Amino acid sequence: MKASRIGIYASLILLALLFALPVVWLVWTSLKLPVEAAAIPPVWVFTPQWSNYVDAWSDRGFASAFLNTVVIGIGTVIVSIAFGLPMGYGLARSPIRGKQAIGIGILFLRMLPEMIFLIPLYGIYRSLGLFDTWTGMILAFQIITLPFAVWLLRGFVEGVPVDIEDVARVDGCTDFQVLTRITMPLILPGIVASAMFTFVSVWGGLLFPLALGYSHAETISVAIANFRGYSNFQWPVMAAGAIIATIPQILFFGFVQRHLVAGLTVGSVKG
Amino acid sequence: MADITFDRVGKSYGSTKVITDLSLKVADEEFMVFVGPSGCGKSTALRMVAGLESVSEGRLLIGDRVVNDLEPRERDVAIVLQSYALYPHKTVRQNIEFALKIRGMPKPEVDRLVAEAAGILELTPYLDRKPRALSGGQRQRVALGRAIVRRPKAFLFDEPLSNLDAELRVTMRAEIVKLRRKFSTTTIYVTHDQTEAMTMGDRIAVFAPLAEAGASNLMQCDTPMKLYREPANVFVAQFIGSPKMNILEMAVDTEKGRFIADGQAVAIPPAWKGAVSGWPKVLVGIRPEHLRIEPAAAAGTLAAEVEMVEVLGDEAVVHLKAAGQPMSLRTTRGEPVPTVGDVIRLRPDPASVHVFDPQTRQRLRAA
Repeated sequence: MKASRIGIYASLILLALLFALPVVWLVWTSLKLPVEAAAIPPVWVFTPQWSNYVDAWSDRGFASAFLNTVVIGIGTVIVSIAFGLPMGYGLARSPIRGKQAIGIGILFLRMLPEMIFLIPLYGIYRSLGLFDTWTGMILAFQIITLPFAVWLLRGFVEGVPVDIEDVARVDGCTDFQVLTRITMPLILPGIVASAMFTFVSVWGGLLFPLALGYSHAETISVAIANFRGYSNFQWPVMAAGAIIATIPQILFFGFVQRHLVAGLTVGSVKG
Repeated sequence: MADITFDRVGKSYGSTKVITDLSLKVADEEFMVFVGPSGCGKSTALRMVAGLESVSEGRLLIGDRVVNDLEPRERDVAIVLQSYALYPHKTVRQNIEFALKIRGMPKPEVDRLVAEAAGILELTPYLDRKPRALSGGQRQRVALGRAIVRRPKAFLFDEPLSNLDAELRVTMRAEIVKLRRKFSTTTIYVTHDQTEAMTMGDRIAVFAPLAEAGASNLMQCDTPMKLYREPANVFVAQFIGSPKMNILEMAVDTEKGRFIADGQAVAIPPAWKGAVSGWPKVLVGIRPEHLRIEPAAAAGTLAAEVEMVEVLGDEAVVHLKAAGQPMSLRTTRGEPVPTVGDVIRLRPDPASVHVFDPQTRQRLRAA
């Protein structure tokens, strides 16, 4: 092995360790007693406290927040794709004038800070009975996730040659069949990438659940934040909760990884 | 099987007109070639038949049925495009059977038809491959398979061979002609390649961009030999044949029976004498292969200076300047090839001279 190659590997390993460090630290902390977790200098030798995971899971509302997040996450993904795909398709394919402006308008929504939606949404949700509901949360998250899905899917649709859709129409497809039988399978990486980003946005989102949820629609990020007490920080239980919270994301990423890589690198090489 | 009729068909995008007043009938079982330069509307006309472009004016009929407002799937035609447009996520078999399945044909029938089409096109060993694992020629064969498997009323080809290399193009050309003979299906074939047009079509429709064409894009529709021998106008005369026909603006000396340009004169062929009588000036057309080199200055020949010579093996194309106008000449086997700078004498074959109106650029009627 050449010296330069050794150097490259060494720096890559170092970089990987650097990224892994916070995760290792989190796992490490999740197994300590509170006093060990707060100790300076850090305690290196300790008896693993597996009970922290049980405490986190059985803490007030954590398990239900976990379930809420899964439901809201999946619901948000479904709504975002169900609306984002036809909108993206329309923006890519329709001959209407000003579709570029419409596209930029949608992207502009994504650029606005979430904060400005909170007060109007709070008022609307209170009057419509959407406050602290799964439906309300799924709809609120569309402000963040739908524009992104539209833009991403529009790009993917544009990557599918129109000729293929034309031939499908002549072959006997209706417009809907063209979308479902030809275009959708071809843009599957885009749909998966879009679903992934949507799910992660919900899983890590704090502002909407904090302002528009309370108990029925409390999400995992709010539940973890709630581990902070007035007088003490339950660092190990909080760390254990955070580890539990990352499991669905890791599973989801693992499941869709092959498609996701294709989705993120689309257009990077000539097809 | 069906005939296809364009009845005063027009196509506009907003205020931009692309096709106007196109009237043409493709007979049942006929192989019709649409040929013309870029932007002449030939592909648009084909796509209107497929239903992929709307018809802005006039009527389009497949058989006796007006199809202006029918969806592509309701027209029972098959299309093959330059880009092949195979479904990349489907295998060769799935590509070929897709149209049958979407129409709800029973599986045993689908399998039989797919096997038959694959057999005809020698695709049987590749049925389970994805398009990306095929060569360009094989991909185009899959596109053909997708078209023939349905036994449609008409085949529509939009420059299907343009992406293939020269050798494969010749092979595929022969294959398409064979297929069409086998199925006797009405065919419209769009190309910008006049060799394809001349060798494949029963008839050829020559299209021109509206800016050049004037009233209608269709400049002439006839058999290949008729287009070559009796082009209806200067556009067709110059589009069909390679190198293109020489067009010289010449004065008519009816009394002495001569065309004159730049002080040089050639005899008016007997067949044209009546037709040009009374015209002060005409456009005289003569194909490069219908000019002969005369050994010495002789009456009725044109002096021309050789500007460039392209030797193509047996024959050569000689670019010249005669009577102040550019011309070309194609020598045939055994003829001496002049060199650059030579001044040679040319005699047009009187039986192959064409004469056009200098204003309308339409052919005059010979006796």
